[in-house]
Amino acid sequence: MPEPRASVRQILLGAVLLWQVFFLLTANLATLVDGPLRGGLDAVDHLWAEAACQHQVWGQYSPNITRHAIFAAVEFRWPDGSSVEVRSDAEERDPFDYVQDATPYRVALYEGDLIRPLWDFTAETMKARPGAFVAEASERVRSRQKPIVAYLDWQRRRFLERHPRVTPPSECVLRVHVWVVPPHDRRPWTWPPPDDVPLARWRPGVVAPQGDLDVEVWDPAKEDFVFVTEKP
Amino acid sequence: MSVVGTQPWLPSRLRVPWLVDPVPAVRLAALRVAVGLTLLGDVLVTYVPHMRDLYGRGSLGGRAIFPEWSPPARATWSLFAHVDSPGAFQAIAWVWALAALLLALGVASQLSAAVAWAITVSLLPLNPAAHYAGDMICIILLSILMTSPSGAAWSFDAWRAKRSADVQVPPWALRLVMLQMALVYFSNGLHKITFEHGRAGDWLRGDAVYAVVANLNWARFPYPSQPMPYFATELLTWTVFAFELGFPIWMLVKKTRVPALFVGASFHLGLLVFMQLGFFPAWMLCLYVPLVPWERAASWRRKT
Repeated sequence: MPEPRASVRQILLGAVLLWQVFFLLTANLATLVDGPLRGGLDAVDHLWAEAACQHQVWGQYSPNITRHAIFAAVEFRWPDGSSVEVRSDAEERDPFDYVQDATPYRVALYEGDLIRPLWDFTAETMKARPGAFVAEASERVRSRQKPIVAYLDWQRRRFLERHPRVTPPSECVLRVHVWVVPPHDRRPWTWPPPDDVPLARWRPGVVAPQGDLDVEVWDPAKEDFVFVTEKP
Repeated sequence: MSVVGTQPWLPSRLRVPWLVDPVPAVRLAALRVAVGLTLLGDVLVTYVPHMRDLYGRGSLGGRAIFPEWSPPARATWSLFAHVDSPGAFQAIAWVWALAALLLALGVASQLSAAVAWAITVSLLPLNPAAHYAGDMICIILLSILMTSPSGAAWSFDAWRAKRSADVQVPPWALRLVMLQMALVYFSNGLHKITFEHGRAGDWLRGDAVYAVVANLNWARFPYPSQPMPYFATELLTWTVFAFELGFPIWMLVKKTRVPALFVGASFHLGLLVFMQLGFFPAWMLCLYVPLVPWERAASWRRKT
C-alpha cells in the first residue's frame, strides 16, 4: 500500500525536530572535533542557542571546584572617615547554625558573578601576588563595570531608604568575605575567620580620567584603589 | 487506542520504532505537571520577592546594564526590552506564575507553555547574571511542551474534550527530553576529566563532593551537621563522575538503565535536600518524570 503523503505540518515538524537534534549533538559534542569544522559548527550553534535561548553549557562544578566560599559586602564611606558595612542577604550570620533557603538565590548569583576573582585569592595570596590579583580584578571590572555600579548603587539606595536621615556616602566599596573551606581532616573541623578584602570602589559623581573606567580596583601592593583602563 | 498530536515526517532510515511508535500520553502529561509546578515554585520563591530588585528602573538588570546581551550584538530577544516600570515587571511575574499554574492543570496547555516560555526567554537577557543552568533546562522543557500535545491527558483540556487517559502521543517530545538529558550528563562528565601539571583534577582525585558540601555558598546546612563522612564524599564523587560520563551507555544497555536512573534521581534528591542550588535539582528531576511508567499506575487505578 502506498504511504500516505506527509502534510506540510508533518514536514515542518520533522524539519524542526531534525534541526534540534543536529543542534543538540553538535553544540554538546563539538568540543570533540577540531579545526575549521568546529568553528563553523560553533557559529551556527551559537546563533540558534541565542535565538532560542538554549545555551548548551553543562560544565557545573568542573573542571575543579574552588575551596573558597565568597560573599559580597558593601562598605559605605563618608568624607569624615566614618564607614558602615552591609552584608549580602546570602551570607549566614553563624556558619555553624543555619538553614539556607532559595529566596536570595538570584541576587546571590548576581553578586557571585561580580566577585568571582576571589575564588582564586585570599588576603594573604593577594599580597603575595599583587600583580596577578590586579590583573584578574581589572579584567572582571572591565567586563562587569555596569553591573558593579548597578549593584553598589542599588545597595546604596536600599541603605538610604532604611536610614533616611543619613547623608549619602561618598564612596561605595565592593568587598568580599572569603571563607576558606578547611581540609576534611582538620580536627576539630572548624571555620577559620573569613578574610574581608576590598575588590573595587565606585565614587558617585567622581569622573574617571580619560580612557579609564569609573570603577577602581584594589591594588594590594599600593594598599589603595587604582583606576582601570577601558582597554587592557 | 487513539493517538493525539502530529507525527513528524522523518526520513525512512529514521523511522525506527523508538522514534515513531506512539507512547502513553500520561508520560508527557506527567512532564507537563512537573514542569508547571516547578516553574510555579521557582517564580514564587526566587523571582516574586525580588522582581523589583532584578528588573526595571533602578534595578540590577536591564539593557543598559547588560548591553552585550542585547541585539544587534547577539541574536537574543526580549518582549520586555522596552519595559522600564518596576510595577510592570511585578505584574509580569504574576502572569508568569499564572501560566505555570495553568500549565500544571492543563488549561490551554500548549498556550500556557508558550506564554511561560516567552516570559522566561524574555527575562533572561535583561539580567543574565541572575540566571543559571536550571533556567536553561526550564526553557528547553517549556519549548518541548508548547510544541507537543502536552495536554492530551491528565488535563483540563482532555477533560473538556472527553478524552480518556489511555490515549497515546507521538514519541518525539519524550525522545528529545531523553537526548537532552544524555547530553547534559555526558557533557558534564567530559568537563570533569582534567589534569593540570600532571596532577588529576578534583573529580578524578575524589575531592569534588567534599569541596561542594563543605562550601558555605552551596551547603544548605553546616557541613559538621551533615551525616556524610569524607570517604562517603569520595565515593559519591567517583559515582557521580562515572554516572555522568557513562550515562549514554547506561541508557543503551537495558540492564543498567533502571539502576542508573535510580542513582541519578537519588543524587538530585540528595542535592535538593542538602544543597542550596536554587531550583536546579528540581529542574533536573523533571527530566526523570516521563521515564516513570505512569500508564501502569493509571491502568492499576482503573482496575481497582
